Amino acid sequence: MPPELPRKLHDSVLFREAALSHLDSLHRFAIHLSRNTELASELVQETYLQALRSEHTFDRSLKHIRPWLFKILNNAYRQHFRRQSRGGPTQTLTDAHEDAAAANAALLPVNSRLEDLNWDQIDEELKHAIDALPDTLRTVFLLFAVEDLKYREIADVEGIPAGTVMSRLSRARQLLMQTLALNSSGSRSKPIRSA
Amino acid sequence: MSNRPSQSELIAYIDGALAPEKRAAVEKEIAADRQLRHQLRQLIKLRSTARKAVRDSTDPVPDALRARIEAMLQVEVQKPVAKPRTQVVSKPVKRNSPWIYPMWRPALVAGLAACIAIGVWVGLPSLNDPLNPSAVTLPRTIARTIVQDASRAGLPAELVSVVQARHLKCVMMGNNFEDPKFSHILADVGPAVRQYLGDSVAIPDLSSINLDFAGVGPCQVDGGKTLHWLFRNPSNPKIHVSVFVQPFSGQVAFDQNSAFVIAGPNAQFPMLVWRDDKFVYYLIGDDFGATSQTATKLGVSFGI
Repeated sequence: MPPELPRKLHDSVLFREAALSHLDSLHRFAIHLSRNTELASELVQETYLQALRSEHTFDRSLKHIRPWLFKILNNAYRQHFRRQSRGGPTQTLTDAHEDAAAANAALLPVNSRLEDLNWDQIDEELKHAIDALPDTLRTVFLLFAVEDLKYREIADVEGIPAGTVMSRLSRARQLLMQTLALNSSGSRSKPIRSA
Repeated sequence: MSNRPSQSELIAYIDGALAPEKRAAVEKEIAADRQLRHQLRQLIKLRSTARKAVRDSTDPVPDALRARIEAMLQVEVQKPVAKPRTQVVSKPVKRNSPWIYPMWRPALVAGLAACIAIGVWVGLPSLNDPLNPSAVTLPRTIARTIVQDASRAGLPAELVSVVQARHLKCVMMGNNFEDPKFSHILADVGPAVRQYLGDSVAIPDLSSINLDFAGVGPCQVDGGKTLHWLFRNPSNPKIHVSVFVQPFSGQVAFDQNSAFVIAGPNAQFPMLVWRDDKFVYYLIGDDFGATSQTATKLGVSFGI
């Protein structure tokens, strides 16, 4: 048998094992990205199909397979909405919009209202607040806080500079803090969306 | 002039994204400012709580999706070596085999009306090898017609890839053989085999054909019990032979009196499938000579 074939097959088996190990994370990300379980399943399936098609191009060390899979999924999500020609994802913010939202958030005296917050009892509230974040902020926040990707990896997934990742993360956190602060002070705010 | 870090700087500090000198400056400010420390705690808590909230609230991957993805990853490890030459639907294949994943369509695996089977009558082979004394049943060595066209077995073409993938995985990636219930001595595996499969089956010692027993253990496939015996050529580590055994429960609707050549002598991984009234046997190797000799030991043949 040709000596290179077993090596290729070996790499292929390793690649598939590694890809499968990220299924739970990809599915979770797809659900919170799309907020639609059916679409999430489609996106995950599409991600694996595309990954298999590009398998031969992938770095044999498999070091970056996790962010690579997230990137495919994120692109599939964007393409899904592009194909539907109904505009982008539920909400696409420009940097200007994000700045405005962040500025509003910064005006609020967040810290004082978080004094009495019981962090053990806000899971549901926080989850809703995350779901209500603008898409661009939610994506970055989920990749960082939930899926443990690094700034550089998120920048690659999103196709933006690392500095923009940092600023989006900062804005996402400010908005979440603001929502929690408002809720903890008893005033149920409407979900915070872009300005 | 205040050097108090901004919230962005504080966040970058938490995330470990500050340059060393900036980090030192922020640490100095934090040490001196109680309010900053409180803000820092809140930001750290936000991340850990968000992580927990999202992870805890997300439903697990649906079984159907997981099965589709696993099938996708399994069946494409290598394109089938032996494909049906035509596809004519006869009857659907039952899907209770662990090899058969939900995405496989019966239409792809139907029998072949125009195929030409080469029937070779194989005499009863003798099994002179030392056998497992604790096992009571050998693979039934009945006379079988050797069918060279796999499509006549009603087996999915993709099955070839799945079995290859399992064989390769165990050969190259370590093993299914760490279950302490299964001895690493062939003669001692009988009780564990019987307990796992629900009946006795023994695979003969193959050392006389230069194949050492490498291990036996449950094969990690969904939906059914399968045991995998692996043999290795001690003088050529590239040559392995695998025998997979599944309890027969009607999952492969093919003739008990035939053995089916799924991949022949020219294939990279020659493969035979047959069954008796209790088990289905899948034999695969990465060398035709070793696989063919093993087949003979098991009472079947490639018909060549």
